[in-house]
This record gives sequence, C-alpha cells and structure tokens, in this order.
Amino acid sequence: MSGQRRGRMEIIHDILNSIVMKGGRIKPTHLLYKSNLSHQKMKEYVNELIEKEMIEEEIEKEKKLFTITEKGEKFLNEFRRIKEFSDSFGL
Amino acid sequence: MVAYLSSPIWFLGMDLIFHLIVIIISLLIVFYSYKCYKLIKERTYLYFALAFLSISIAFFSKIFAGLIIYGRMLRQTIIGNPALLAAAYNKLYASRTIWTNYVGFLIYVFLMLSAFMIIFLIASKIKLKDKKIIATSFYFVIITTILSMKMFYALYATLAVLLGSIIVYYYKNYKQKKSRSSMFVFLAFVFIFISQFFFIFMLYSKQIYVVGEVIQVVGYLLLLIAFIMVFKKK
Repeated sequence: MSGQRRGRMEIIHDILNSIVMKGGRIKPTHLLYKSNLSHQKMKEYVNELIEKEMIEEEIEKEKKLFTITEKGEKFLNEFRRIKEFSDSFGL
Repeated sequence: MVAYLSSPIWFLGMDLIFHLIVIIISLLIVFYSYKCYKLIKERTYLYFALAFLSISIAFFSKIFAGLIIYGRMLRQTIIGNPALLAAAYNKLYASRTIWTNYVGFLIYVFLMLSAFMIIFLIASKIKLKDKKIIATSFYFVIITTILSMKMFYALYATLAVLLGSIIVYYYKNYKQKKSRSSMFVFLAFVFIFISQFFFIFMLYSKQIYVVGEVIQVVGYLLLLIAFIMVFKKK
C-alpha cells in the first residue's frame, strides 16, 4: 500500500489481495488489519464486495470467514489492466 | 453535411473510411470502459464510455449522411465519367439536402459537443455528481448546437476550446504518471485539438478539410496505440 490516499479501486484490490495472500480465506479481524481501514469502512466495503459477488461470507466452527470468489479473482487479474487504463486516460 | 460538401472529389469515400476508423476505435474504448464500470461500479467509467459512444454515433451519422450524398451523386452521374461526376457534385453542393444539412449535422454537433464536454468534466476531475455543473455544461452544449446550425465553425471553435483544456489536463496526467500510454493519450488529444482549426477554415479550401481529417484520424490512431499499450503491458 502506498503512502498516497488510496482510491476505491485500490481499496477493493487490497481487500481481495489480502484474502488471496491468506490462501483464499480470511478472518474479519485479519482483514481489518490487512486492509488498513476503519471498522466501519471495512464493513461497507465487505458488504459491497459480497453484493458484487466478489467475496462470500462463510461460517466455520461458529466463526465468520471471508472467501474470495471466481469473480473476485477475475477482478484481481483485471486490476492491473484497469489501473493502467485509468492512469493513461486520466480516469 | 457541411463536411462532405467541403471534400474534394478525389477524397470522397476516403473520408468515410477515416470516420469508420474513428467509430471502431471509439467503440473499443466504450467496450472496455463499460466493462470496467460493470466490474467496479465506478460511474466515471460509465461516463467515459458514454462520451466515446457519443463520438461513435456522431461519426456514424456523418457516414450515414455521406452515403446519402454519395448515393445521390452516383445516381446522378455515369460511373467513370469525371466530368459528369463533377457536375453532379456541383449540383448537389448547390442544393444541399435537408438531411445532410440539418438532421445529420444537428446529431453530429450535439453528440460531439456532449462527448468532449463529458471528457472535459472527467479530465478536470470535476465531481460529476454535482447536478448544477452538469446542467450548466449541457446548457452550453445546447446553445452551441443551436449556434452551430447557423455558423458551423462555432462547433469546431468550441471543440477547440474544450480540447485545449483537455490537453492541459492530459499533459498534467502524463507528467504525473510518466507512462508511454499516458503520453500517447495526451498526444492523441493534441492532434484532435489541432484538427479543429483546419475544420474551422475548411470552407475556404477543400484541401484544408482533407488535412483536418488526416490529423484527426491520426489523433484517434494514437488513442488506439495507447489502448493497445494498456493491454500489452506486462
């Protein structure tokens, strides 16, 4: 994560990347730490990503886990290209 | 349409190919920008797609008007007889049909102004949620469209002003990002900007129109190069 203020796209990327780095599943507390967001902000992004079907919520041994979906993985692969497109076209 | 009536005979048809190139390049940008919007739901991508869709439709209306003109010319002449072709061209130049002069040009003007107004708003990072800014911008688009119907060069002069601001933002973007693709985007808009000055004076000489069209298509080809770079970069 850079020192500059992250955009929405970078935050989504960082959340998804954190899940991948943890083997595709992550605990909410770890995600909060890894994504470097406030609890409220993280909740908003997580809800949005669930809504967009990029991540899924799972309950394992009464504990909540977030897993990355195929769509989420697709986004990560596409991220670099979208970032390059955004940077080049000033979006 | 004014543009086709300003085209020299030897360039007829070639300009349609140029416009087709612009449509294909614009649609590529529409497709990818819309894909980005669908993926991350950021409205800037949707507006950017909308801007290039407007450019595509504007050039499509230009092609459509051009085909009507050329179709009529072919009907009025014997293929292979340049003297009759020139006579038909002059006759058409004098008559100027309702479609080519008004409907086609009206669609073209409105869509081109809307497109570059949207690109200007995006490039300048103005918050597109602000309805007052959007309303004021489109008020100017409508006023300029009406004005351009009386004085065609008002379109190209306004596009030059918008593009002048756009290239300043894209230059800053290039300086900040320092990537080759952002440099090509900046150069693309510089070429499109320069072409507008040739279009302003196209009624004075048919060759000026040709130069304008060539510079404009080079601009869009530079956009294509930048777009390809985005996909090729590893």
